[in-house]
Amino acid sequence: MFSKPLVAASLEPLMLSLLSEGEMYGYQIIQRVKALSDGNLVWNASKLYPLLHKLENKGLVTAVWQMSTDGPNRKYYRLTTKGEAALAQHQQEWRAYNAILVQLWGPNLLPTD
Amino acid sequence: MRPFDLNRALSMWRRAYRFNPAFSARDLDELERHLRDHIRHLHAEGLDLERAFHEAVFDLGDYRTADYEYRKVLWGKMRRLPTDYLDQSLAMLRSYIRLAYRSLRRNKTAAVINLTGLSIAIGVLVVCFVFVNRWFQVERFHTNADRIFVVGHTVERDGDEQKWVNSPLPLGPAMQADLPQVEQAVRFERYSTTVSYVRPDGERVADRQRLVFVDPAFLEVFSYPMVQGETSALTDLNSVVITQTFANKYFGTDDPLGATLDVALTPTLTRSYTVRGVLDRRPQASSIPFDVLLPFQTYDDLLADEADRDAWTQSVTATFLLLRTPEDVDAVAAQMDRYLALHNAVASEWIYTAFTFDNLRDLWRIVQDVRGEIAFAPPTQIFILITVISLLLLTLACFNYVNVALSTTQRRLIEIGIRKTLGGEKRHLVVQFLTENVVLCFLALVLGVMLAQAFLLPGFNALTGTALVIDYWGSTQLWWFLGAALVVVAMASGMYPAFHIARFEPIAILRDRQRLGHTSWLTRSLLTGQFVLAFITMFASIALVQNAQYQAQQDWGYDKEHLLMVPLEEARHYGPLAERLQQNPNVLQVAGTRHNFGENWGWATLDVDGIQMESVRFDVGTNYLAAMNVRLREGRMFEPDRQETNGVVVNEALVRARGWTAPIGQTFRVDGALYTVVGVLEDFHFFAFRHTIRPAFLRLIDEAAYTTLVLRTRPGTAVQTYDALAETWASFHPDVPFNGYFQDTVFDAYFAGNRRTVNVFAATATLTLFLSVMGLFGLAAQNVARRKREIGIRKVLGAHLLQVLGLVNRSFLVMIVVAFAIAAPLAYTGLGHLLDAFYAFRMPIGPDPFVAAFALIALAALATIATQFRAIAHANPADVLRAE
Repeated sequence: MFSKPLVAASLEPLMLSLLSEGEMYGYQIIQRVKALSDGNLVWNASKLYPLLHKLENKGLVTAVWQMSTDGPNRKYYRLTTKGEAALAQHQQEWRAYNAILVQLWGPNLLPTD
Repeated sequence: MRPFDLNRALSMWRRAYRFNPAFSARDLDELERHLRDHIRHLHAEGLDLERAFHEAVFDLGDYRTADYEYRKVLWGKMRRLPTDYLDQSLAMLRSYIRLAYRSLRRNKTAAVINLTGLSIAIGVLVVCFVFVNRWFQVERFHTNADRIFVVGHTVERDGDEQKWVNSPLPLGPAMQADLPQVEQAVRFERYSTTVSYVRPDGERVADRQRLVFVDPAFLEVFSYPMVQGETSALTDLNSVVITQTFANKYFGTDDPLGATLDVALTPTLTRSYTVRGVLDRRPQASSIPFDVLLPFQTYDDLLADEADRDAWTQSVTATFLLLRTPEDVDAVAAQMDRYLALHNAVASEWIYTAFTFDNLRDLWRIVQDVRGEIAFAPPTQIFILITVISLLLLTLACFNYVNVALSTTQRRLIEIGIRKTLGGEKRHLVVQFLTENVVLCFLALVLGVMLAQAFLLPGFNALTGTALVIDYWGSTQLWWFLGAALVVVAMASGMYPAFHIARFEPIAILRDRQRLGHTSWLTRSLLTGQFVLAFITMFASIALVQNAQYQAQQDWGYDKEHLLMVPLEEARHYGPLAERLQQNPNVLQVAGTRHNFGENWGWATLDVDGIQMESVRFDVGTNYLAAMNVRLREGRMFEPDRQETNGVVVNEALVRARGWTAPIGQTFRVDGALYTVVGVLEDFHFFAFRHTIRPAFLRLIDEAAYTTLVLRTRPGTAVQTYDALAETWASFHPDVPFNGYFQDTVFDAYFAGNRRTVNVFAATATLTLFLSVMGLFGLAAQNVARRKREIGIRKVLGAHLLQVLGLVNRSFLVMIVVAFAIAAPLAYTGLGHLLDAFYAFRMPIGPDPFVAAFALIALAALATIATQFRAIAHANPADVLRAE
């Protein structure tokens, strides 16, 4: 549905935005994205987790393990202050970009709510 | 068909990833959790478990993508996170250790040489550490150690400042009363006398013991662990506190507490004391020896004149101060002027220039430079000597390592070349070689500690008469030391070979152009250096052995043979004993004395025309000089029938020191009394040969002051006379054992000390030679192995085996000769200084030690080289040449 370069470019801001809603684990994130995009955007687990790990290494997110009764424990990811700052940066960029497109395409691009 | 088992399916799935280093166990946990969540979701939507599983796995993405993505993260992480890098490094380390193990196994000779050498060196180092560390820990077990100070004083004598650790008797109590900084002052007075105990079965145990009179607070100021009894034990005037060692000796397994000890305070006064406490003196951790503690009050009682009890002229062995804080010492030192004035006002013969304060922990360090008999420690030279020896051996072992490593590299050139071609970086090779070395050094360390425990330390104890033990768990210092030793030894020995080897260019190696080892100047100079050291230590020990023999043959300045000495219990026994003995036909002469050459003497400050000088003083009986057979230079000796009032006999050293040209009739004063010189004796040895002969004078004393009876026996009758004397003695003192001895044994302790020095040197020389020979052996073996082709060709062309052996090893023989040429002059000057440092009377250095050392070492080297004979003889030229 979405082109590969767009997905790749929006991956980090989208992830940070999702986590700004609160703590989430990987499967939950995929489900949430699926719901938000009406099933148009389905993230692949084998890419999602490495991305999360990358963000973790960069210090933008942090993770805690929570005990599970069946099978392995569950790893929850949460935004760090550094991650919040990064998200703010992304938002600023995307808004500016959006403003350019709006000027060219008209305001229909904006959400209609 | 088996029903679908989700857990099994998941574990099968997991197995595919388990050995992929890109996925950690936690990564897999997370993925599995994801799968489980997804499966549950799908299952809830109506799929059966098996289909849900396959669907979920499919959605997860294929293995290659996952592997690729995870790997990207991992590499990113490796650049940042040291912890994960550590995982990787550990894997590398494992591989290095495996390689090290293989290479050690492949090259057994080299490994054995290095292991033996390094472990011996490390063993010696451990012994050195234990020896030195014991002294650095001395007295530190006292809780108050940093606050305990000993008061000493300085005086000026012969223009030099002397430091003494004794102090005036009233000083301690006065300071405690006057100075708020002084929490406690404890006086400490040594006394040596016979202590006896009658066992319940009636048997009497009696021996001379080191008694100390101390103020009762001693046990609280110091922290000697009380095995039995309380620290307040000494407040009771009739109580005594003994050491564990003393208790074991006197009481065995009996309970010492409450037992009664008889202490012979003076020849006529014996008092009984009750044992109220047993303490552990911790002889390994203490420098202040004693066996028995008595309340100080007893010492006060012993002073004949009651006025002496608070006289500033009286002194005690030591006064210890417990200060409120360690820093108070400056404040206390600043307030000492009044005590200085109090003392100097009454002691005009002994004017203090200042009081000194030394911390308890430093006592062992200063005892060599101060006078007094409070603490005992080996002289500083011993510490330096032992440290130098152990570092020397370590250096030798490291030399061996470097040499053997360089010469065995030849075999590993191909390995290095291939590693480099396959992308191995220089630093990887360096790390690999260093790891090999660390593994080897670690083995050597373990072996070394075992060697030290089993042989070296017991050997050292036997050689030097110490009782050291390795305390593995008592302190962390040993472990720090061993860790540091491992790192230092591994680096010192491995650094150069590692960098040297890693430097080679692969192209040169693989084209067989790289040649090394046999031409290395480093190898040559290290081996030569080893043999220089071997020569020097060998010279030194041979010279010391010779010197000991030389000293044993020295003239003592009097006839030391056939002289029998008998310590008297009481002076009044002298007369009757002498009378009885004179009837024995084997007794040529009988004399009495208080001081005896080589055993005891007094000190006196002579006032010669207003100039003060220190001199040794001998108080002797009339016949003593004649019985000792001292040689007279001029004047006369003491004569039996002459009433000697102020005549003294002096030695030549005193005459020299004063520069008298006509000594007879010269006068000097001692403590106000005037003496006139009536005779001059040829110099004789009363200190052992370590010290110069000091100025001495001999004065006559009354029979009432005799402590020793001297007998000159007819030659050849010593044993008979000794037995006869013992019998006579028994009829006088049935209770007291006969303690007679021969005069020629008075320097035995000195000669035993000498022997210990010689032993230490001989052991060092042996180890040095052993290590050098091992190094030579390693090089010679590698050399033969490397030159197999040459040897093969020479043999084919008809060379004689011995010829080949000589040709191949010529360079080693040259090195040994060079080593000798370097070592001989060094040793000659060095030995002179060494002997001068140890002995005032020493032998001149002749050619013998050099000849002997050269012969010995050359022989050892030749024998080592000859071991290669077999390798050469057995080398079949056909095999060697075909292998090429």
